[in-house]
Amino acid sequence: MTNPLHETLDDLVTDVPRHVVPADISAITWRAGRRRRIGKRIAGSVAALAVAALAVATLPVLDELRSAPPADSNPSPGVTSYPERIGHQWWVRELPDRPGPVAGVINLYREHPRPYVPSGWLAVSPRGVLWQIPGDAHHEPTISPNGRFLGYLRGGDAPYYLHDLVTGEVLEFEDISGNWSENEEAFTYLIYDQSPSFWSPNGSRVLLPGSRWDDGGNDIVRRPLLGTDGSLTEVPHDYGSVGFAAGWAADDELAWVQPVHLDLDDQESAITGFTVSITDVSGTLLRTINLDVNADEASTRFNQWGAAMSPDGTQLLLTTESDWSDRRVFVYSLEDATVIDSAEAVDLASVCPVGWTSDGRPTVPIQLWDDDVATTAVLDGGDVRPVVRIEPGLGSYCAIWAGDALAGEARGGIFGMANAWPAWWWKEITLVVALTVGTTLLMWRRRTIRQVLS
Amino acid sequence: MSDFDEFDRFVRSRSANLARTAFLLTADYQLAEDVVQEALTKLAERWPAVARHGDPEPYVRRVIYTKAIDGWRWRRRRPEVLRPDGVPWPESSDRKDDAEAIARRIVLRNALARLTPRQRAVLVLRFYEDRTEAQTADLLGCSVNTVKSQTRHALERLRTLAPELADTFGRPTQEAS
Repeated sequence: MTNPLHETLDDLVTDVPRHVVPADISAITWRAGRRRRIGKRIAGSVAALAVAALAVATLPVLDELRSAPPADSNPSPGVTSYPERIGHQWWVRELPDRPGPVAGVINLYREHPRPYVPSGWLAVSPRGVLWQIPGDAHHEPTISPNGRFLGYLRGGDAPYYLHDLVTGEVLEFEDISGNWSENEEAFTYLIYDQSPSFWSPNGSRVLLPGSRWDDGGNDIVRRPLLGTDGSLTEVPHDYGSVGFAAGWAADDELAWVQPVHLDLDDQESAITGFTVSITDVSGTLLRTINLDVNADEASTRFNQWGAAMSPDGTQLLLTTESDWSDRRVFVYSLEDATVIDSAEAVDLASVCPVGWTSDGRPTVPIQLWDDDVATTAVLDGGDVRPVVRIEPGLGSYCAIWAGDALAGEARGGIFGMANAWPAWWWKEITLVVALTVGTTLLMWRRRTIRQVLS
Repeated sequence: MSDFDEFDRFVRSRSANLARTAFLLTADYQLAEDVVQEALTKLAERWPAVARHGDPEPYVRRVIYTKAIDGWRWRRRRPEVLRPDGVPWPESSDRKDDAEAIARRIVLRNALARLTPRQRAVLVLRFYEDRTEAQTADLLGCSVNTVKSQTRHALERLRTLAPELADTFGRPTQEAS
C-alpha cells in the first residue's frame, strides 16, 4: 500500500546526481576503510604497549604499597624472603601501620661518607619496596629475626618505638631518649647512636645500646632490655670486664667479647685473641671462652659492630681491622674455640653491624667507597659472596637484615645481582621506549593519512 | 571471490538506493555524498565481520540514519576525481517536466531542509522506506511514542512550510504493526 508522500519523495530523489555516488566509490571507500582498520590496530597496539609498560613498571610497587592484611591464624607470621637488589623508587612514603614483616633496613646519607652524615633509615620489604622510617637518623633501628618487629627512636627524644609490623601495634617506651642535652630527669635511659642492638634467638627481647642517665662515670652501666610484651628491664654491662656486646648465647644468656692485645697497656697493639664472656640477663658470669688469633692474621682494632653470635649460640662472628686496607673476618666455634672460617674483607664497611642468617650463615656489609656500591655478603668457605646489592648512587652503605629473610628465598627478578645501570633504570627505559615507539607510530599514521587525502 | 570483490558488488548494487535515502535524510546533495561515503567507509572498515553475519545493508543504513540525525556536517577532503567539475545540480534536470512539477520538487526539498534531522529521518523511514512505527523506533533508537510524535510534528511543519503540497501530507495509510 502506498501513500502520496511516498510517491512525492520518490519523485524527489529520482534526479539524485551521479556525483553523490561516483563510479569508483567502492575502491575509494575500501581503501579508506582499510586505512582506518590498520590505524586502529596500530593505535590499539601502541595503547596496549604503553599500558603493559606502565603495568610492568608500577604494578609491583603498587602491590607492595598496599598495607598488609591483619595477622591471620598464623600466630607468628614472619618474613620468608629478601630482595637481591635494592634500587631507587619513584616515591618513598612513610612506613605504613601494617606493612607486614620486612626483610631489613638500610641507611641513607646525603654527603660522602668520609665523613659520614646519616640522613635517615628505610625499611625494605621482601620485594625491595622502600618505606621511610620516621624518626632519628643517627640511631640505628633494629629488626627482629622474623622481620615482624621494628625498633627505632621516634625522634631525638623519647619515645622509643617497638612497632609490630603485622598487627600495627606500637609499644612506646617513654623512658628512652637519644639526646644528651635533654633534661636528665625527664628520661631514664639514653640510647647511643651508631650502635647495634641484639635480639634474643626467639625474637621476644632486644638489648639496646645505651645506659641509664645516672650511670655516667660508673664501671657498670645498665642497658635497657625491651620485650615485645612491653616489658622494660635492665642488663648490667661491665664494659671494662667483658667488653662489647656480641649477642645472645641462648634466650636467657648474653655473650660479650673483649679483644686481648699483645700489649695489655697498649690498645693499639696487635690483637692476639678474644675473651668471650657468657652471662645471664642479670649480669652473672656463667662461663668464659678464650679465642686465639694467629700472629699472621692479627689486626689492631675491634669495634662494637664487629661481633655477632650465631642464632644457635654456638659460633661467634668477629671482624677486625688494622687500617682501611686490612680487614679480616673470623668465625669461631665456641664449643672448641677453633676457627671455622675466615676471610680477608678489604671492603668491609666498618660502621655497619655484622650478622647471621637464621640458617646459620654469617653475613658482613661490604662497601666500595669509590664506586658507591654497597652489598651484603655471606661468608662461605673463605669467600665473601654478595647476596644483596644496593644501587650505586642510592646513598646507602649499611643494610641490617632479619635473619629469617636472608635464610629465605632470594627475589631478584630477571636482573638478579647485575649492577649495570640499565638493570637499575629498566622501568624508566621501558617507559621511554614505549612512549617513543607510540609517538612515532602515531605520527607515521597521521602523516600517511595526510598523504593519502592530499 | 575476495573481500573487495564482494564489497564492490554490494556497493554497485545498492549505492544508488543508499544515496537517495541519504539525500532525503539530509536534504542536501553534498551532505548526502559525505554521509554515503562515510557509511561505506565504515562498512569497508568492518567488512569481514559485517559480511559474516549476512546482508550488510541494514548495517549501512543504520550508519546513514545515525550520521544524518547527528547533524553530521564534517566534510572530508575528497580526491579531485570526485569533484564534479561542471556537473549541474538537479535543479537543471534532464527530465522534460513541466514547470509546475519542477516547482513542486523545489518546494518539497526546501521544506524538507527546514525540518529537524530526526523529523526528516522519521518521515523517510515511515513514508519512503515504508517501515512500521516499531521498526522505525528500533532503527532510530527511540520509543514508538517518539516516532509517533515526531511524525505528527513533521507533517504539521510540512503543511505549514509547503501549504500547496498539503494534499501530499495526509495521514499515512500504514499503521504500526
